[in-house]
Amino acid sequence: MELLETATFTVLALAFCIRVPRALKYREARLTCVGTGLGALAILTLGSIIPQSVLDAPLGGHNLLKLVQTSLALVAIWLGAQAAISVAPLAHRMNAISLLVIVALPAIPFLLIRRTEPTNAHFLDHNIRQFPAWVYATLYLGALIYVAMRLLFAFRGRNEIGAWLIKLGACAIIIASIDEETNFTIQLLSAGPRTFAPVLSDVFNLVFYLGVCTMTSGIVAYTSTRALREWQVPRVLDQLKSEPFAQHRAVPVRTAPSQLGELYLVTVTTRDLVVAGDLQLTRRQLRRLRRAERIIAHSLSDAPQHKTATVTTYTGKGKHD
Amino acid sequence: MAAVPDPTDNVDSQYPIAERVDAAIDEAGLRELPTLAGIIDRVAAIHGKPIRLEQVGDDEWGTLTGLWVETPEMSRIFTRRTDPVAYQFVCALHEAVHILLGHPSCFPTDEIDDETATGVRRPRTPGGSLGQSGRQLSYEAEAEYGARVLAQSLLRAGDNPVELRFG
Repeated sequence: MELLETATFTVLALAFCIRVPRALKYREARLTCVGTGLGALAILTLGSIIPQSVLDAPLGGHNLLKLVQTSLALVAIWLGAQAAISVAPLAHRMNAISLLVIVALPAIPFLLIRRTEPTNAHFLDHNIRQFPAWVYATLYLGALIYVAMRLLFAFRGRNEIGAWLIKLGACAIIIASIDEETNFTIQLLSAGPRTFAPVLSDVFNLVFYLGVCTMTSGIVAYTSTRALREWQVPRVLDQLKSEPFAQHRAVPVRTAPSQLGELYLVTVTTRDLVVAGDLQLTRRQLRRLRRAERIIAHSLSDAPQHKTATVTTYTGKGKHD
Repeated sequence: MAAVPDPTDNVDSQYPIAERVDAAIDEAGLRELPTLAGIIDRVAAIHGKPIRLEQVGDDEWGTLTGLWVETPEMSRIFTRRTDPVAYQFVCALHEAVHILLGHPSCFPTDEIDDETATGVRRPRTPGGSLGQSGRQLSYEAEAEYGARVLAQSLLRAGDNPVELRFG
């Protein structure tokens, strides 16, 4: 399990590092940047890199680190969900009060737990039969499920690789949280054979950390795709402009377009000529045109990425499928 | 074959398409909207009637790449689902600009079979080969210019809002 925790930390730390330059440049990129950073810190408190006793000592050495860990995890996933919701057309924003509630609610029962044992990675498992510990775990896991579901729904309809990885990761976190809640509830009620507890606990660890890794990989995939496209745009534009047909028409906008905008204008004009039957492209030229069209489609925020027929009605107050 | 005039020819000259269309787009605040959905929704609010965006099959469409059909209940914009997504964007934006600018109907198109055939129709046809008059061509030029300006605003720095946050 230590290997999985270390791998998760590495992926989160990597994602944080590659998000920093974007976060410095664009305000919108800061939510996911801070989210990955806090996520990495949350994993750091698990003890696989720095011993938990070292981190918990300044907090009194009685497992208050567990509350810090879960709070960091909640804030991290909340920031990711908030970033997704901020661009989802139909999603209601989560305000800062919801974040406070999500973090503060589990803290209340946590502080009521009798924390007598020294720092222990299995502190919660050992104390789950204390009712406040179960309430704390339930509120924490419930909050995780709620925020992960908001994230999942915010990405509904998006089909980029990054979106699928984030959705898959959110699903894994939901499944893992349900598994862990089941485990804790069985233990509280002493309802099942004790042999179930370690199995359910292992399932939680495996699915949860793989989910976090997958979700973070989605962020890395978005970043990589964008970086690759920014590298591709000038090259594809040069290729298309070197074709004889690209010389036929001037760019019909007054303000100078970006390179991507210029690529769009050349692409649309070329496609118009093809549709009108005024231009026959060679296979090589058609390949270049399609490549340019793919790059542009991925740059448009709400471009439908699927081939099936869709109907959307806009009422002037929001869309209705 | 009558060709749709290149809007560039008219910029700052005898027929100031660009200035008029830019002013209408600015007045509607469309440049600030980061998505096609947002733009269509704003145009629907200004038009005072819902706008339905439909991707349909293209077997019978020939060189028709976009179509606006006005009915009493709503405005319907059709694009061909087999066209590249980026191309469908400019076709949808073209029809939205027609609606925004309040262009009238004077182009009956019997070739397109549809149950709401009594409505206003305005097609986007590259090459403009369907016999439009001079005034019709200017409407098309305005719509095409507006579509390309809006496409530029959708592609401006920062681009895709989801990518801006996650990429």
